[in-house]
Amino acid sequence: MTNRQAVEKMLLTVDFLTLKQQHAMQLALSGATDDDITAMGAFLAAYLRAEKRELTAREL
Amino acid sequence: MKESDFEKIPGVEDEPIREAVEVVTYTERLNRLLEITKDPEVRKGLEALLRTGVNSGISVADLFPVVGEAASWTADACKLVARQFDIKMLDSSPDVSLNVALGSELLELCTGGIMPSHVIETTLQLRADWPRMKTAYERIKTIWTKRQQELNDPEVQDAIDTFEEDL
Repeated sequence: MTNRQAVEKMLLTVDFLTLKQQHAMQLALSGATDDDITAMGAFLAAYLRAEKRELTAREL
Repeated sequence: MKESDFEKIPGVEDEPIREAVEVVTYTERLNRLLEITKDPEVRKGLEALLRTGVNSGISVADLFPVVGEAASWTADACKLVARQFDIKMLDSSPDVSLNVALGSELLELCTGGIMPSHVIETTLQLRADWPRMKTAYERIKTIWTKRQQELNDPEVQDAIDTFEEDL
């Protein structure tokens, strides 16, 4: 999976964006540089990992 | 959750991520609860649970002569009114026919009020309600763990892991 594909997948997974915002972010990705994508990917991955831990901790 | 549980990302502060996650997961939990209360299957299951409670109470009361008869006959009278005027919530055993309900009271008359006849209605209703309660329980479980299942999706995990190596 490329960084771009990973970011697109994570954008569709996060639940703090509305559907419209997700589409807007996907459009913005088309003009983003590799550095932008890496930064955004790092943030989204960290967010989703933290959310997974938070959910697991609370479900326990 | 400890501070050390969060990844160190160049240019990204840990604290805002933690706060964002806390706010979003809190909102998401509330949404899940709302979704559970609005779900028609869950509502049916909760109604079934309530009915089982009411019928069990009447059956226990029916163990005692006079008091029991009053409760049991009141339930049957309510059933009659519910069927006559189409007021569903008055009927504590909607899946049991009126004939069976009234017929079971005959057994009580024959035994001089000793037999707790409402047990028959309770059992028959419980047979119809049990699958509803089971379905509701499954729905609650599904809704409650939905977000976790989304996050555990292998494709999502792959996407997250794509950036793990960069850190």
